[in-house]
Amino acid sequence: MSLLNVKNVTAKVAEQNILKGLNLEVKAGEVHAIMGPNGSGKSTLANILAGKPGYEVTSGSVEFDGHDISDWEPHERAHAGIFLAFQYPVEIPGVSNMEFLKASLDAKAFANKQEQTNAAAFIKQARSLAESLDLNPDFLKRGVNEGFSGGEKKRNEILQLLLLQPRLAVLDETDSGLDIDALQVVAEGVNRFRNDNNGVVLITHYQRLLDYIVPDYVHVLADGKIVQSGDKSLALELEKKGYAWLT
Amino acid sequence: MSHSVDDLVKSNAEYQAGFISNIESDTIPPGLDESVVRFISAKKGEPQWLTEWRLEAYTKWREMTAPEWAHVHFPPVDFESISYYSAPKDMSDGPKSLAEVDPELLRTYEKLGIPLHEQEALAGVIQSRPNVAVDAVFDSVSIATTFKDKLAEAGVVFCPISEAVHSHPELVQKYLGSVVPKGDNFYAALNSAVFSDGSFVYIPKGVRCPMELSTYFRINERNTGQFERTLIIADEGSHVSYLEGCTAPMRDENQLHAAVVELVALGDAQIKYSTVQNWYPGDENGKGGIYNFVTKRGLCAGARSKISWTQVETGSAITWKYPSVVLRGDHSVGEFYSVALTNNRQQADTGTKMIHMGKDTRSTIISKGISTGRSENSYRGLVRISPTASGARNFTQCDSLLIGDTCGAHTFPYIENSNTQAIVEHEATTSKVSEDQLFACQQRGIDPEKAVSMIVNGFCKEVFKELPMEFAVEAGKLLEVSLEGAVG
Amino acid sequence: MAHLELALASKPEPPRWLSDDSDQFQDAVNQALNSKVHRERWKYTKSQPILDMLEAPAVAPNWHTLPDGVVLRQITQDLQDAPLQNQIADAPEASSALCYHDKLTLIEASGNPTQPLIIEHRGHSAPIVLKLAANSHLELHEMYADNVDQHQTLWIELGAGSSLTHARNSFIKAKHWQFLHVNLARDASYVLHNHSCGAQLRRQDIQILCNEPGSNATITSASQVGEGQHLDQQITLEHRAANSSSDQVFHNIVEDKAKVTFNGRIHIHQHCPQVAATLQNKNLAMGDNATINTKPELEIYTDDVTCAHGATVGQLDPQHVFYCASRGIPLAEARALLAQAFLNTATTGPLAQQALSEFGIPTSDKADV
Repeated sequence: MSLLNVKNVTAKVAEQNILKGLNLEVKAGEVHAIMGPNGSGKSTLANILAGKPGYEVTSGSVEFDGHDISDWEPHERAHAGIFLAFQYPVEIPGVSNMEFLKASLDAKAFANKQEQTNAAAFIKQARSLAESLDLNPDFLKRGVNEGFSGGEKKRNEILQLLLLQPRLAVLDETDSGLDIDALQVVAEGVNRFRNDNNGVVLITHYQRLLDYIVPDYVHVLADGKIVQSGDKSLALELEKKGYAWLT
Repeated sequence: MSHSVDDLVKSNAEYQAGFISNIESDTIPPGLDESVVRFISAKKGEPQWLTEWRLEAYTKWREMTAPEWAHVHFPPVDFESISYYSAPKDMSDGPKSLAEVDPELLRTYEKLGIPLHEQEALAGVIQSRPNVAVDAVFDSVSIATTFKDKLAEAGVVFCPISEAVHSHPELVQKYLGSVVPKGDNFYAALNSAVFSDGSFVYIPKGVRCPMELSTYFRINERNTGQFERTLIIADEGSHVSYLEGCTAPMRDENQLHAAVVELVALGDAQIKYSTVQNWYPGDENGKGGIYNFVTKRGLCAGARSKISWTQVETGSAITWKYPSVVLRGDHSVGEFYSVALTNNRQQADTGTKMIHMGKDTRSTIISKGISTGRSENSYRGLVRISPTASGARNFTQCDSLLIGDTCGAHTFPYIENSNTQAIVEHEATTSKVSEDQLFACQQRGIDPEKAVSMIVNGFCKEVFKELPMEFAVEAGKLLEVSLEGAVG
Repeated sequence: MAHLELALASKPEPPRWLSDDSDQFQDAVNQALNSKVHRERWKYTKSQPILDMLEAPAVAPNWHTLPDGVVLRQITQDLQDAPLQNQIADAPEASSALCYHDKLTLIEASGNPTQPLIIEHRGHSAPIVLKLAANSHLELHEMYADNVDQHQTLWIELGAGSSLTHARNSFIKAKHWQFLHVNLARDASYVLHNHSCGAQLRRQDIQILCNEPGSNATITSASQVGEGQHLDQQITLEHRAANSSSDQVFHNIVEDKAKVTFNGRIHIHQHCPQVAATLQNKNLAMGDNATINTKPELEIYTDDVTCAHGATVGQLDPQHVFYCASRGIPLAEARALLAQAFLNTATTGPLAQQALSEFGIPTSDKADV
């Protein structure tokens, strides 16, 4: 059974039609890269999956694990296992990373009637994850993304991904604004995450990221639809030709 | 689909301390004249000087008018409709031992989580406040003070002020009204005339008070005002941390609470005064609730003394309160940390005054205001640097958080500097709980209600960390409860 | 606080368009003056010496050469479209000024003239109303001559999409009251470069109303308040529409026995989302016995806003002074240099050069840093 099934979705944002009949199926164990020019609807797709307020599905359906999730609240989707790595992670002053991560983990455990992670084990895990992502463990005490550099914010998203272990990870231009070292750290994190039971949707503007995270499928999004699909060689072709020939 | 911030702001807070206790009371008829003042004084068996002191205050009060400068709106208070003295019936002859206290009263405090039985308190049965001595004030009288003996060993005096008048007359006479004179302002004058009870603390020279002291105020009786008076004296080199909590039943009419708190810190002494104020705020339409018109002031009388106010204000229909510090001693330090949350129709006009007189005096003001519903939340502050205060230094940070666009957040910071060797800095910002923050939390599985509360708690962190541990937890929870209502 | 009252000894007839009845008008003015907001505006400065100037006879300013597209008229009665109606509540003192002058000067400007409009005040000026037509752009210079007591009341109406750059250098050594009221329509932009120095008593009232969406106002102000002088700045910036913005910077140098009063009020009305407003007031105390009263106020009734304000009172940073000294600059000179720099950062616009040459930083050697 498919993990994610987006069926002929049209969607609008601020009265503007952005997605115009998009289809996408992701099975467990698969990594799908979504590429496309600016304004093609890549981020809209990510926000539709996570249920961001203001993004409205006008027709079609989004199914996760066989359930139509169109009416689900964002936190309910998170509980079910959808994770969005934000393009622009927000700052939440005064709320420490540690506090935030524990609250996320506990909320998810509670919703799924699982036992809460004990505090000591959690702290140990968070510290070791931080280290593996080249983040100073001190940063766990700081406010969520407060005063973080762009690279730190993105690595923080990956840390959350690894800690929360969702079923589907949607990475919205996680590579943007990263230098090559940070990019490798992030890619290594995603590779560590991927396994036969989960899926990854990788949204990116550049082929560069796909050198480090090798996708099973590459889709080209243009004007709200997937106009071409293929394997990783499609990404290389796009790199050479640019996006102009698509429209 | 998803909540927007606006959707979250509705309905009224769930006020958990709103029950009424069924206690028979002696309550005098409403109205105020000289005979009422004399009655209260006689009831307490006060010495002549105090009766006269009260009468002088009453005369001053008669000539004064209620202040109108605060950014709050309410119909004028009818001072003739208030009863100025109310005491649980079997207490009217003064406090007795705990064993004789009406069990209903004890149950009231149990319900509020305030342990009055020392054994239970020590065992932490009722809640985890094992090392706090409590003075419980019910309407007009103090009904019990715990741990008196243990404190006495250290030489600390902690008792109802009505008792201190008799047991420590010289201290009371010397310091009562020395920080807040009886004619200081309209409500302070009223309090000076009719104050019923409150706590008295004296920490002797060089003593570090062995436990946290606390007073718990409860208004129960209908149509009564509460006018307690607290006096804390920290002698040279002593330290004390004092906590204050307040609740009242849910009633449709407004009730007046006009307290006076005076703190005196002599040389090298330190007083830390923390308040969690949770008076009944009224319902979602602004009906009922406490008018909290309070004068709190500390005097750093000696060199290197320090007074620190921390307040978490979530209750009351109207709050009018400016815990202040007069920095007279050289190198003395004043601090004010405040969280004020208003919801529904609540109005708060609160802040502080830092009056720098001594050389190299320092003050810090951190104020966090949160407004939701249709409430009005104002910070009002005065930093005054007198010509004598060379080298004085003040830093003020005033942040407002707005939730919804029907509330108001205001900042009125007065800076009056008459010494060019002083440095004063004031900063203020406003922000909101952004839809993006809310979505980011939700995306990680945190529901919107919890998310708002987490964000607001984060906003208040700088103040919460100043509270004693047990209180910090309580304050966080209280904020959550107050917001829980707000986020429906 | 004392009850405020205008001394209207002669009780002049107000213009017909303001009111039918002079008593009624007077009552309205006094009522407004005693409102919370206006009493607050006179908290630290005696009103009488300022308000007394209202009665003095007007002296015509020197208008220099009017730029293209600028028309000037003297208006007596019957000013049907005067922007001053209903402004008693906002500006009671200034409204009273109209009683004492049987005419006001209406300036209508349109187009995009290359030359600035220059007004050189030579004494008390009759009230001036400047109306800038929609999508027009104008530069206004105000200067003050003759070192005599002066008061000016200036109303500015900015049409949709218009922009005004307003520079004024107030350097007369006398008693000086400047009242300024600006109304901004949709997408209008107003920039004020305000420089002042030298007056024994100077009161600057500035009221700016961003009435429609997209409007924005900027004030940059530098003042030097010399020995024994008194400067009182009362600023109100109201945002009455969404998407409007304002930025204000006020730097003041305060010397021996000088007094500065600053009140900067930002008021954002309900249902005005996406407003951004900032205000900075910095006071540099350079001498002994100076008094600085400052109050940056915020009054906010909507949540979707970005607001920040700040005020500081302090001295020159000893580290900066030391840095200069370590490079061989004498202490007194170093202090003057740094004070000058403090003023420079807030001295801007077309009259900046002239202002800088007028500011005279004392090189007193009170080198107690």
